Amino acid sequence: MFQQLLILGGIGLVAGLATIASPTNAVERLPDGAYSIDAVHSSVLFSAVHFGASRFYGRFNKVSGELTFDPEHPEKSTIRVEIDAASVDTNDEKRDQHLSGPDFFASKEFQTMTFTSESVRVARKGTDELPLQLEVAGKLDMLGKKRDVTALVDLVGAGPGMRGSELVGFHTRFEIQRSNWGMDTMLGPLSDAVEVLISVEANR
Amino acid sequence: MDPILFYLRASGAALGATAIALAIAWFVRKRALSGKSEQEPRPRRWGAFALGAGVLGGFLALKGVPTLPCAEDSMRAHDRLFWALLAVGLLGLLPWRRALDAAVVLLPVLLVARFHDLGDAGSRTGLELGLLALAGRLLIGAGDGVMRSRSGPTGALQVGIVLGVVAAAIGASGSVIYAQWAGTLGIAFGLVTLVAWRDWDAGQLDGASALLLAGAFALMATEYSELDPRNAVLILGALPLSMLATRLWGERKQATIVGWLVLLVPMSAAVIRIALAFEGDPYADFP
Repeated sequence: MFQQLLILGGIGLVAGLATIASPTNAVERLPDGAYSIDAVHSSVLFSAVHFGASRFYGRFNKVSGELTFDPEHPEKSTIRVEIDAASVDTNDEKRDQHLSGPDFFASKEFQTMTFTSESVRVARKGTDELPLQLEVAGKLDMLGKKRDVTALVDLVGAGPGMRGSELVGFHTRFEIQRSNWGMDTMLGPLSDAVEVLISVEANR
Repeated sequence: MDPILFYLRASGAALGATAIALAIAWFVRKRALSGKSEQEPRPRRWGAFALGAGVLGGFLALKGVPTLPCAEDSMRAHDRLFWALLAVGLLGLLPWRRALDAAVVLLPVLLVARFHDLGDAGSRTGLELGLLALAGRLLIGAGDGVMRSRSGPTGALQVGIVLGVVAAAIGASGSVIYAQWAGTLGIAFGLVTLVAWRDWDAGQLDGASALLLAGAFALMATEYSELDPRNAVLILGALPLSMLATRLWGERKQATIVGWLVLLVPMSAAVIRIALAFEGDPYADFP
C-alpha cells in the first residue's frame, strides 16, 4: 500500500514538474521581444566525414547571443549567435588542440564565430502536427570571413520556465562548405561539407 | 585531394619557384660577367632571393592567393607573413645589404600586428617587439657567421638541421599547414645548397635569411599555434650558442666537437620535450 502511494505520488510529482518546466507549442501566447540565449540549455554541434568512412561529431561548449521573436510577425525576428572557437570539444585533448589551432578554427586569431541573421521568411506556418518553420538567411563570420548561410529553423516550443521566465526554443540543421571560409586543411581526409546543428533555448 | 599529393604539390611548387629564382640569378650573373649590366650582382643576396621565392611558391600551392591587406576579409597570420616575407625579400634585393637588418624590425611587427583592428599589436609592448627584433638580429648574425666561419658543408648541414627541427617542432605542436610551409624553406635551402655546391656562382647560401625565415615561422607557431616558446628558444638558440662556444674555445682542436655538442644538446632537449607531450595520446597516430 505504501509502495503504491509512493509510486502514485512520484508520477504526480513528475507530471507536475513537467507542466511547470516544459514549454508548450502555444506560440501565440509568447510575448514578443528580445530574448537572451541560455548557454546552459543550448547546443552547437558539428560533424564531418573522416576518410569517407565515418561521421564524427564535435561540439562547442560556449555559446551566447540574443534573438528577437514576434509571434504575430515571425519574419521580423532576428538572431545573433556567438560561439567561442576555443571551446571546441571532440573528446580528445590533442584533437581539440589541433582543431582549435591555425589548421582549423584558429581560435587565437579569431576567438569568436558569429552568425547574424539578415532576413527571415516563414517557410511553414505552425500547425498542430508541425511546428512553425522559418527560413533564416544571414552571415556566418568565421576565420575573418563573412559568408552567406541559409538555414531552415524549427520552433521547438515556447512557454513559461522556472521563476517566471519566458522561454522559446529553436532547432536547425544545415550544411556548410568549410573551404568557403578558408578552412582547407586536409580536404579529402576530412570532408569539405560540415553539418552544423544548432539548438538554442532563449529566455527573458 | 590525397594529403600526400597535396604535400608533394607544395614541395614541387617550392622546388620550382626556387629553381626559377636561381635561373634568374644565373641569367643576371651572366649578363654582369659579359659587361652588359653595370651593377655587380651579389650572389649571396640572390641565394636569399631563391629561398624566399621557394617559400612563397610553397605558400601559393598550399593556401592559394593570400588575402590582400585592403580586402574586406581579415588577413590571417599566414597571410600577413606572406606579405611580410615578400616585403623582406624585396628589401633584401636592394644593393644595400644592410637592408636585411631593417627586416628584423619589420618582420615581427608585420607578423604580429593586425591591419584591420590592430588587436594583437595593441597588446604588444615595445619591449616585446624590441626583444623579438633582437632575437631576429641574433639569428641573422648566427646564420651569417656559421656560413662564413665554418666550412661550407658544415655550415649548410647545421643550418639545414635547424630548419628541419623547426618544421618538425611546428608540426608536432599543432599545425600541419604551418609545418609544411616551414618545410618548403628546407626544400628551397636544399636546392640552393646543391646549386652552390656545383659552384654555378648564381646563388650562394645565405644562412642569415634561412635562419630569419625559420625564426619567423617559429614566432608564428608560438603566437597562433601551440609551439611552446621554451622549445622555440631551445631550437633557435642552439646555433647562436654554438657559435659563441666555438669562439670561446678558440683555435683548440676540440672546438668543432664543442660546436656540434652545443648545437645538438639544446635541440635534442626540445625534441624530447615535444615527444613526451604526445605520450599516451591516441591522436598521436593522427590523422
